[in-house]
Parts: sequence; structure tokens; C-alpha cells
Amino acid sequence: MVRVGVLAASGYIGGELLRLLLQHPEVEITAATSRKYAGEYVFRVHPNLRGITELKFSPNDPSKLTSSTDVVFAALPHGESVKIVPQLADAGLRVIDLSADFRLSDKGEYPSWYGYDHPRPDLLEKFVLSVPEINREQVKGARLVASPGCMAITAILALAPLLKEKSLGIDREHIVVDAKVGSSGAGGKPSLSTHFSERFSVVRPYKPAGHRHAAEIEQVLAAMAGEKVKVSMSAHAVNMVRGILITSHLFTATAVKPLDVWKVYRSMYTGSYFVRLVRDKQGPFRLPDPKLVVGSNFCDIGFEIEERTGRLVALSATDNLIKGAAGNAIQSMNLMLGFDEKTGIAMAPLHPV
Amino acid sequence: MNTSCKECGAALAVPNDAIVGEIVSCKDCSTEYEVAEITNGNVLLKPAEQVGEDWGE
Repeated sequence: MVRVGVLAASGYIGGELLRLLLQHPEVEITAATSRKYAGEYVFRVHPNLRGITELKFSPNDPSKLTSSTDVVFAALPHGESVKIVPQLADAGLRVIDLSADFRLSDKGEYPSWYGYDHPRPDLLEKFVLSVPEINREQVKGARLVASPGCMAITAILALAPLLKEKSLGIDREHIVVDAKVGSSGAGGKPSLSTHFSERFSVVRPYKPAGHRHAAEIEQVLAAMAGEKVKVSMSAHAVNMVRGILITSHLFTATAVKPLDVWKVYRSMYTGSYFVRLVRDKQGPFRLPDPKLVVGSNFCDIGFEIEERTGRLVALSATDNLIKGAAGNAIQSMNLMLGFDEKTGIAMAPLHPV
Repeated sequence: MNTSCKECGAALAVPNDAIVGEIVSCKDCSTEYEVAEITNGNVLLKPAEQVGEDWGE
């Protein structure tokens, strides 16, 4: 059994990592840390795990993790991870970081997007930004992995094949990513804006311009396209607990045909269990809807074409805590350790929710 | 009898005992086709009539 630790395991992502890893047949959780809840039973913070584990939280002590774990999932906030993860990386542990601290490969991007100078730029080139459906082979050979942001990975999966395929003639300067995300995307720490009376029933445009995830999306899409790509992003908080719907708008000089877009998606995703193409002619769920991926590691992708304006609308949906975080991280670990990438995370989505 | 979906390009298997007028649908995009003609094992499909939904447009 592989010994795994979860750093900052008391948040929603930490809770999902524990829930999924407890059912993973190849791993044993040897540490779940929390500064606030050290000494407390895990199920007191994650009540869904009562009866499943007797694990207790331990302090965030990197030196203890190096002796008790082989792999560490770090679910620390941005800016905090970079203070602890380098010690784990330097000690030779495999690390899967879920913060933004190691996602961007260019150190020059950190001051403008995250407001700090990166203290360990040498590590940025060692971390692989893991989107297994796109860079599976790179992830297999990695010891250090950064898992993308939940909205970023959902957008990337819908957009990457379209940017890679030059014959579609996508305008790379004008790509608009519109995100709608559930309340769990804001984490487990309460605030006035997450208070039920303020949060319930909203369609709140909380970041209409300048969302940080645009940096990750541009980085991956530029690698796909082989040239610079510009992404404009808007994010909205909507009335769900879990789930993300990304509606991306792309423009082409001449209208593309549905058959061509199907071919492009199939060429990249045939054989990728966690990507499902959804463009159905019947029933109420004709295009991706987060309602149909909740509880799973799937990303549903679909599209529509507006010939009159040369607009290609790409839609993608994920469970923000699973494919958008814990599930993608575990899928990455599976690849790093040579397991089947579906191990422990192949569950079907819930329905209805 | 094998053919492909004109909408999405997926492989479309028409049962060997299909008869003219039978409806077959694509498993990937659920576009429905009506069997228009069968000649020497070759099947000719035409789009089946489908009712759209009113989404408040």
C-alpha cells in the first residue's frame, strides 16, 4: 500500500480527498493535517465520514509527513502552499498540489496574478500542470504535480482540442469563458457573502473580469495552439452547492460544421473515460449540465454553432470538488504511480440531485 | 448493416432484420433516422421527423 497524506484536510477539497482515498484500494491514509482541528476526529469536521474512518487530524508538520508518507496531497490556500510544499519536494516526496502556487510555469506571472514574487521559481519547471486527458504521458513521469483550478480545468478540457486543430480557424485573440459555479467553490470558511440568506437564489457576477484562472487556461491553450492565446473570463456564483458550467465563446472566420467539431473532440478524447461528449437531439439534457456530473470525476463536453456570427459555443460541466479538484488529483496520482487512472474514482454521477 | 450518423459521424448499426419505415437512432447524439430503402444489403436512411422543445424562445 502507498502511504498518502493530505495537508489541510479540513476544507471541502480535503474532505473529498479523504472520502475518495479511503475507498482507494492501493493507498493507506497515514496523515490528515489541520492546524485548527489537530487532535480531532476527522468525522467531526467531515460528518459524512462517520463510521468509515477513525482517523484524527494531525498538525501541519512537514517533517513528520516526510517520514510517514510517500505521496502528499496539499490542499492549502494559495500563498500558504508555497511555504510548505518546497520542504516536501526537497525531501523527495511525490507531491500533488491543489493550490495555484505551482500551476504557472512562468515566475513573472505570479506578481500580476497572485500578488507575490515566487520564492522557489526553480520548482516551477519541475511541477507538471496535470490535465491527464491532455498531458497523460507527462503526468506519468512526474514526481511533482499541480492540479488546475476547478474552472480552469473545466474550460481547458472543452477548449484545448479546438485550439489544437488549426483547420477550425479559431480567433485566438477573442476567446470568452463564462463560468457559473456552486457555493462549495468558495471553500468551507463562512463569510457574509456565503451566508444562506445572501447566497441562496443568487446569480452573482462575482468576477466579471480578470479572473485568475484565465492565466492557467491561457498557458495550456498556448501550448496547444503553438502561439499566444488571449482568454477573457467572467465568473458567476449560482444557486448550486456543487458544479460548474463553463460556456466558452469562440469565433471563426467561416462557420464550422458540427461534424468537424465532433471529429476534433473525438480525436483527442476517444479512450479518455472521464470525458463524455454530450450533444443530444432528445430529452431534457441535450448539452452538458453540472447536475449530471455531480459526485463524479466526469467532464461533459458539448457545443453549438451559430453560423450567422461565426460563433462556436463550447460547453463543459464538472463537479468542482472532484474533476475540478480531488478527483483530478487522485487521477494524477494513479498515473504517477502506475495504477489504472480510474482506480478509486470511476464512480457514476448521482441522479437525481 | 453498418453506416454512419450524418450529424455526428458516429458508427450507426442498423439491424440486419430492419424493415422500411423502421426508426434507428445514433447512440452518440440520438439523431433519429427512418429506414427509407434496403437494396442488396445496403440501407438508405432519411432523417426522421423530430419534435423540437419550446425553451421559451
